[in-house]
Amino acid sequence: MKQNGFTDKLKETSPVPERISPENIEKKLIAQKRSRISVSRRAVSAAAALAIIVGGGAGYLYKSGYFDKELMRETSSVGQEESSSQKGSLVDSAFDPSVDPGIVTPQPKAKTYELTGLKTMSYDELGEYFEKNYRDTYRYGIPETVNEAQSFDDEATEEADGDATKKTNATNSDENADRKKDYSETYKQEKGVDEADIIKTDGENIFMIDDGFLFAVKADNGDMEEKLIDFTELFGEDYNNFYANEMYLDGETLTVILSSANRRSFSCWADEEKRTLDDMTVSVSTVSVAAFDISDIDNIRNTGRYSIQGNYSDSRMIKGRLYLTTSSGLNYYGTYEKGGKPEFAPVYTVNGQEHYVSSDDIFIPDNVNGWGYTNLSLIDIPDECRPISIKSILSANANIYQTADRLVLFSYYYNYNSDEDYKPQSLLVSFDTENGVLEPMASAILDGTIHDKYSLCYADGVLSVAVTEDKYDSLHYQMKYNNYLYTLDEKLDIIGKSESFGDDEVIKSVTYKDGYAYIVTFMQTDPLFAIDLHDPKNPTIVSELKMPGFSSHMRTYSEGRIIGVGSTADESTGRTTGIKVSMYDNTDPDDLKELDKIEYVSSEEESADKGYMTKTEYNSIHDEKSLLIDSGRKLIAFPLGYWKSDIEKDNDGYYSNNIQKAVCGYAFYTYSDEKGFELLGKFEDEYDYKQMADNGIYASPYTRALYIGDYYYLFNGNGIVCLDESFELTDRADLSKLTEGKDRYRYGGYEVYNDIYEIAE
Amino acid sequence: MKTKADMSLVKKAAKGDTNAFALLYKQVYEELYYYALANLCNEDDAADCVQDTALDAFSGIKKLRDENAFKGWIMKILITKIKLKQKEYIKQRENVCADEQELVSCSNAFEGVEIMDALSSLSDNERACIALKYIGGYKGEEITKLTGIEHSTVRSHITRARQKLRSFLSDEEEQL
Repeated sequence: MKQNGFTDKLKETSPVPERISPENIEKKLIAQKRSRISVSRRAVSAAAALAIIVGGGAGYLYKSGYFDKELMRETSSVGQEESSSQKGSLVDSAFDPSVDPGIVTPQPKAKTYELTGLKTMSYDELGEYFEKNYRDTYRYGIPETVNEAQSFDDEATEEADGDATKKTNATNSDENADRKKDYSETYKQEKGVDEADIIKTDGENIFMIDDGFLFAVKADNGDMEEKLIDFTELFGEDYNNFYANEMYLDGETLTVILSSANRRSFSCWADEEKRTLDDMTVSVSTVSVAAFDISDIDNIRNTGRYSIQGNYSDSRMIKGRLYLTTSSGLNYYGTYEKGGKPEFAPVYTVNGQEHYVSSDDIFIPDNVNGWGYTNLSLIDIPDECRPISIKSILSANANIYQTADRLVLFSYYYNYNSDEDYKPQSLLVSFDTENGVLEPMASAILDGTIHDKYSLCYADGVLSVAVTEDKYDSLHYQMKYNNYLYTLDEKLDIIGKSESFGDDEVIKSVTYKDGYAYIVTFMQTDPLFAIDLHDPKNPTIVSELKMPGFSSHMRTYSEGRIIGVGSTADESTGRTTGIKVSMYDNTDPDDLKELDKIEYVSSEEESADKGYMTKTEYNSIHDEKSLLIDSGRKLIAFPLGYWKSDIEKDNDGYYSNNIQKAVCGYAFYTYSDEKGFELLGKFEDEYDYKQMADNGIYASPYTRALYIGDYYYLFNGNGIVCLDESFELTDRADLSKLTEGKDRYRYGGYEVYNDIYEIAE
Repeated sequence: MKTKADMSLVKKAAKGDTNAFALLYKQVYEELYYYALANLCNEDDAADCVQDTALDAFSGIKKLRDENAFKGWIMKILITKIKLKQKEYIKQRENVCADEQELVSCSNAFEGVEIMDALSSLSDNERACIALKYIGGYKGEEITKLTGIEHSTVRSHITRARQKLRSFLSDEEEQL
């Protein structure tokens, strides 16, 4: 433990309790061990079966010697890693990494690029590379980081597609496009590039993911009939541990992205000096893609499945082809020998057979960003989810920006070799995706950090990137911020750079339209900048509009109109105080205007007779997918939730906050240039705070809204509500009833690992 | 430094030797406790978390092959436990906004103990970062690895937290 004033003070004020002393912990361990032995002995045979279920991919058991391929094939469709139980054998003749039957669809030959800033190696070279660079630093692997729900970061927007929630779904087949549609769709950053979400509708049925469960709801003119799509029933126990993340709906195919944790065995040294090997079992995250035929909602069928190692990071879909990104840890234990099994390579599963990603498809950027892989899979969903191409980049945790032609992975880059010379940078890796391929092109490092995917825009061979550079001013203990807009060519070399803008503020949101970038920066007030990109060599700031509050998300609403959704803020402190929706006029980018705004500002009211204050506090909007914005329908809907509480000051000067009620709902507005924003209606669920705890019902903010015909549907953790055109409630579906008694391992948490471990014992 | 003796401790613990585990645990438990305390501002909860962590670590130690990794590994388990506990806290006062949470935590834990009051005024992430840095002695990038918080954010969390806690941390000024 570190010795300093801080820890001394802690020790002085609170000594370590006796009950967690090493002696007492040991006593508890002994007691725990005794109670477990009998159980684990009985469970040996059951464990064998269970491990197959839990593993979902690894067909061997830790130290039990159980390995029966035939049983595996009968039990489930999952495959097994060949010969992984052959302890001590470094060279595995049964496994030939050069033969790669997993990718059966011939890949359309893309243009071949001379890679910039990226290289490939053979497995042997990779082994040497890891031995040299990795072994001493993080020999035992870094934990795979679970992709945390980011606020606006991983979410959708567009550049040009003002009414994206409307009748434009380029991913649907042509016949569907012709059919008259009157329902909302997931918002897309780029036209024709579909994005995943937790709700999807085809105008008749609604699919919803809540807490890892998948539900189907028949929506019939204000009535709802809900059911759980139970993976366990459909596919056997195998799917019980899978946790649904997000999905796509393309015609009659529902594609669900699932997460799970697997156990996988690796060779490690029993004794390195004597060169004897042992097996060790590690919990490895796996992402699966499962496609379902939903043409008959009462008879949903699985039509394909694909799995790859890692945590789900992001995805896009173009014309039935899924681009899936996962991030996985590097499992290198120093035991690789030339020609041996490349256990350090990411693993994917096709048709129940496991394969290592080919060494030709593992790319090492010149600047490696952390020890782990970002795995990109291009999957043909209609063809039983077969992978067309799999590329792994040795770099951790990347986000995607994607157009029809280009895919760009971007991530924070930290130079591990120079801690003192701290400089935040971003690592970019670009791919050609034209005509449905996946071909790496270039990798580069850019100064500054990228706020989210909306900060990027690719058009006509030029990639524009807005970044915030921060420097730590050690003299004043302050962070110093500068923002820039870079233009990059196909090799990711810098073509041009704007002047610094929004000094000492950070980028909050970006949107691109017709050769201009619109960027909101914020610290205390919100300047909206317009940057002219028509000459990529010389991105020029053409105007700046200052106003209180800021937009954390912007999108084109209609021609010459940009809508921004974000927070109101106190100009003197920069503290956010509520919800703000603004309509901007960008007909003349040199002269930006704010035309109208909606504001919900938190407030405190003195109530004289009661002797305390009443406070109303609005929840901020932090997920742009919760917005239902449709210029065709002239509709702007956003979540509106707030708390009302009484605040009392007690004798010691502490304030006690007594929440009285919580309100969760949505506000529906329309907009016209003549009248500005007009409130159409609101829907609100009110919860009495005191009763909430007693009844076990909690206020759950609505997080999504969609429409089908004249009806609106709102979604929260308690279920779905259906509203008619005047926003009156017509039906309520309680989804929690459907999952009662169905336990599910929560993916991504420590529990998963723990449960699996228990079973293995 | 890796020594033969330590290596065998992990191995022994993996084979079920509780004494070997206790010896490993002894090297880190103070740090675990103060880290948990700084994050939770509650002595009982901090001790609970450390105890759960120790029990889980023992049952999972077969996974671990090197005592060098022991500290980071057990810390990772503890961080998860603390997060779960913090979620419980949030559930208890469901949806109370951030400011009120601070007020609540100020008023219910360690009244009169200056440092705990000061810690209570930090956000969860600020506490996590500052505690890893000053109790654990972790560097920026290691904190990033343990918590998943971006390095730039770790920096600003520490800067902000440090300002709030300056009087307790004055010894460490130069190291930042």
